[in-house]
Amino acid sequence: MVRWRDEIGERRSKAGRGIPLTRVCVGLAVFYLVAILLDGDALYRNAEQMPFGPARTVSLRLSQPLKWISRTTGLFRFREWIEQRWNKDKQP
Amino acid sequence: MLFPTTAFAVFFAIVFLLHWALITRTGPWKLFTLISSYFFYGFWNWKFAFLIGGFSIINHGFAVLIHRTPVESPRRRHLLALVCFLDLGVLAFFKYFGFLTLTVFQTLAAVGLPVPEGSMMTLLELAGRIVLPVGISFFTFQGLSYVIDVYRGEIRPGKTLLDFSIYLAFFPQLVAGPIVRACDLLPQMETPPRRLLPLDTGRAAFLILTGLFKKIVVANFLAGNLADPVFASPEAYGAQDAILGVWAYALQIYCDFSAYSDIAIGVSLLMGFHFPINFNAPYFATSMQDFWHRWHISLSTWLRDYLYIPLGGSRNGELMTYRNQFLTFLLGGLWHGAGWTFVIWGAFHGAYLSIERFLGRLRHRNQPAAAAEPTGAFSIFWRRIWVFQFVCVSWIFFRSQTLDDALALFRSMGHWSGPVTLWTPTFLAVLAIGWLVQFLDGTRMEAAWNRFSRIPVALQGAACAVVLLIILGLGPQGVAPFIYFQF
Repeated sequence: MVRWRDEIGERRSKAGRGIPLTRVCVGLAVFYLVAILLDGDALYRNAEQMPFGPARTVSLRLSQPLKWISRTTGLFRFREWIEQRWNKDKQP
Repeated sequence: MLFPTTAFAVFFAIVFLLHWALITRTGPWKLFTLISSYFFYGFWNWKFAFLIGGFSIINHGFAVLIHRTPVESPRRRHLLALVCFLDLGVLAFFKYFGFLTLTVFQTLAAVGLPVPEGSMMTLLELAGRIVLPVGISFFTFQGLSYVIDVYRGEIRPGKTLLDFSIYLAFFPQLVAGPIVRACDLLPQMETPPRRLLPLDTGRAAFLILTGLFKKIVVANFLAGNLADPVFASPEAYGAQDAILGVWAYALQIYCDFSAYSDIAIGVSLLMGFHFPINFNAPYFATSMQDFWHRWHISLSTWLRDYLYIPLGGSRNGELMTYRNQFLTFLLGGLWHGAGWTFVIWGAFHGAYLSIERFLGRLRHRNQPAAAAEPTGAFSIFWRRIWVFQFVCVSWIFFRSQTLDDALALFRSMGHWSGPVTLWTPTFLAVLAIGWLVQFLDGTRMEAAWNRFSRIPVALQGAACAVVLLIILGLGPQGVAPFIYFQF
């Protein structure tokens, strides 16, 4: 069984084998970019469902271009396919 | 702010960049970490950021006073008692005021004493208006462990109030744990890395994504389709469905709470901080003692070090050990919530642990402790099943709103002739997944983390985004709060 305090020290000593920060930033940028491309449409839908108010207005304004990108590239279809195929709760 | 939301994704991107941009300049970095943590907490209700600020000032102030007071002086003990009283007083006011008021008036009425109706209504009205600050139980315990450790001489107080404030408010663990001790996190806060360290991204990504999967897909599904309907109207279900609903809740609460811990540990890793693990496949436990070594480890070790051992632990004979175990779990139950159902849940665990200890000592009187561990696969299997079923029975009290609700569910479990509606292949498959995700706990997947760390970072980022999208696609619309937020 893993002993929790030992585990901290063990992983700390192995942290030196990790990835340099600059490369982590690249990885994170790619993560956000791909997530926006694939999920921009759903982000806009989520913003639409927020209660009326300034937060909803800002969310709609911010997610509008993301929706456009996702729709233009057609990548929104990936999530749509998952929802239609596997998630009956979300089907229209 | 909830982890699986767009708001947190935006917040984290900004905080991550600024955190690493400022890390080599200690002063600005500390200030930024504090402000970002308060923003995270205040996003829910900004007024309570002052509460946690006040908590930091009081606990750090007392810790410094205790540290400066000579060890032999009785003043040290008085200072400790005072700060514990203040901390627990704040917790009692926000969390237990309504429960205590109602209990006092019900007791008065039960023994036939006159109940002043005007005062009762005023106090209950006041109790109804008190909003429970999210995570108060967690940061109260962290504050208590800090001052007690300083009193015991195990740690020295934080170098500055700012260091302690960051430790207490650090956003990944602020609202639902793990309860990270000052001795583990404070040194990391006081001396942040002076250079940009390599990051354990494989483990961080793995923990965050598995946490999101457990919460968004498994826990939400089990809650919405099985546990919530069964607990909402148990009389509508027969025994088979009621049992399935209870199993579903057991796996839901595990997936929900361990998900929060996993995400908190993963997010902290991306910021260069190391937290202890909080769950280690709890339903693989072969005894109740083993279960508490695997479930909410940061709480069980807290209760052991700051309650069970000060009560006397196992130092004063068998009877006192049973009493200490029982009291520890009784109070542990009350920590979870202000209600008799939580007290019974704690008492159930305390009593079972005492009985287990008693029977173990009878069976293995002249053998070392290791002999009590099951060895054969058959024995391990049955003991796991037995412990899981017992834990499930205790969850009935934990989940039910009132004792009557819990009893109604027990009654449903006696109706074997009722219709069976919930035993569908889909529900059973999700239950199985909820069980199997325990294999992801601890360091079982270390080889996978290391392999993932070795693939090109751009590919890592893209793969994480695709997996996240699949998780979001499989989950229901909207995000339910984590169960432990209410504690």
